[in-house]
Amino acid sequence: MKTNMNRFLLFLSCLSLLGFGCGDSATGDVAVQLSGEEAAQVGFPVGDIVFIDGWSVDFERILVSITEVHLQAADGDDALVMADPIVADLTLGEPEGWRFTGVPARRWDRVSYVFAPAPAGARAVGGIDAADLDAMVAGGHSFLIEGVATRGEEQVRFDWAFDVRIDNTGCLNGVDETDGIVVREGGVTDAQITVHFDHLFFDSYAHDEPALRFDPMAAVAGDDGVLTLEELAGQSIVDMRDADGEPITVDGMPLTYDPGDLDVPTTDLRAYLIGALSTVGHFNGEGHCDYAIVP
Amino acid sequence: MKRLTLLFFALLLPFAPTPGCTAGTGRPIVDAEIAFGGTPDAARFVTGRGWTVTLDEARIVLGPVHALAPRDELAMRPSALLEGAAALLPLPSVARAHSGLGVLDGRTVRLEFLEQVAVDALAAERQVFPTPAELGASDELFLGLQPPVDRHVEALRGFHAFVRGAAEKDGETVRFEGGLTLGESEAERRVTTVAFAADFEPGCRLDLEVDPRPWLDGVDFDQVGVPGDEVHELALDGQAHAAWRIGARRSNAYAATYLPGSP
Repeated sequence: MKTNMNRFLLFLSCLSLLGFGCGDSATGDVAVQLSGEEAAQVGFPVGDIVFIDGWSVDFERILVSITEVHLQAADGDDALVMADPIVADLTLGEPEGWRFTGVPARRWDRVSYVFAPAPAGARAVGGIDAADLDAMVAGGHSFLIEGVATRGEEQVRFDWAFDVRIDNTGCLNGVDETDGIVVREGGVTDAQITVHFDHLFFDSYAHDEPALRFDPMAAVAGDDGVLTLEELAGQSIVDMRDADGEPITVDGMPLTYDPGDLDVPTTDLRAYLIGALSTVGHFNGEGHCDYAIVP
Repeated sequence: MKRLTLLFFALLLPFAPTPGCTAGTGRPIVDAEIAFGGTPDAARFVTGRGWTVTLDEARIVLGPVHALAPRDELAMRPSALLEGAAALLPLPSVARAHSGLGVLDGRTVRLEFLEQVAVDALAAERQVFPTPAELGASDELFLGLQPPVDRHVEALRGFHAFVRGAAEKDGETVRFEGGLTLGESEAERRVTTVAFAADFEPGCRLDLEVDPRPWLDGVDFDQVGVPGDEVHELALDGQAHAAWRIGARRSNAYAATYLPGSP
């Protein structure tokens, strides 16, 4: 019996030498907060983020469904954190989504998370209305964004429900610009899934400094005053027209939206918006992830 | 005890790295080909805006070309020893390669062709070039649209692409010609996510076919000029050029096909 135990220990030692060991057993906790930043709560303009065509936007509901979070490492290790699906309204504040306990203390350089349609049993966080949670689950939505755009006397409400799954992988840490996150031993390491909603209004994904515009969206709003995704499908990003059907120009040039590397199957504004939505997820503020819309 | 130790390492021996005969990434390099050609059917087509377009000329300069390994292939490859052991032992799930907006995405490049080729987008004939490729699977192309080198300037009239033809709608015809100028940023000079499926092997070919129809699909030829015999230039500040600039970078303007090597 003792010999068998010795053999087993030797086997484990061999695995450890090959890099499969668990290392030391130091652990820490990780608190993951969700944030739409100040913009989710006060709208645009905020700070130096302004619409170049004079519009302002206030959000009434920003319901977000996150179904997976992973802390992994390039060496193959996986913290195996238990992230249950949640739904939050980011206009209400910056709630804590999860608190993972007993996470091995080390650098987890492959941080990823998923926006996906809210599944049955998704947990409400941050004081979200039960009716909102039900609506997300029943509709199979990953995002539900409602608000109103205003310019002088003009007012356009928008109501957009998205059903896409977006994988955010290989997230950089916006605090120190390193890969992922270091979990400290014995304490609580704060992390934040940060969602940037100004991306929804960018006019280009091929330039470093795109402008925020709402004119091309407002132009296709119907008489009921509520701008839908279906109406956005009627605006071409390569031949934008105003409400009178005339070309929208900027400095004498026709206005076009350049999708750059976005996954945009058609050249209408709805497809462009969905492509833009795929880029809203960040990590710890400004940390970019790699984005993919998963069919 | 010693016997058990020896047995354990003996079992892992087949997975040890093989010296020589491999590239730095651990896979052999094979001789392959890359071919460039056009789509004859695109000489006449109907756009999404209802214009019947007849093209007399359509050319573009392409390159470089990168064929990428599948996204789920390890970005940081463990040693062959560990790969072999992973097949035998219950290990945690592995980290995956990047995806998304990054240039080349941190993914493994299976085939890399760094030259530029001027392609007649209406010609069935192929221009074929030898190129090395890494043995293994590939499922996506990254296509560069770098500024044309000197040898292509004359054929393209100094532009990145050139078209000449006519667009007809409701019995009236707008004749046009003009060149494409792309922006300076990297994102304006590449086409990503051209899907295909390959498993590179000796003697295989990557066939890249240009389809000019998406280039002009969003063009409103009413804005190009008045119908008649006059040939209108596609002005750089016009809607047609703006639409073409985006259309030329759409992934559906390029089709990649894998042709296995002869047995």
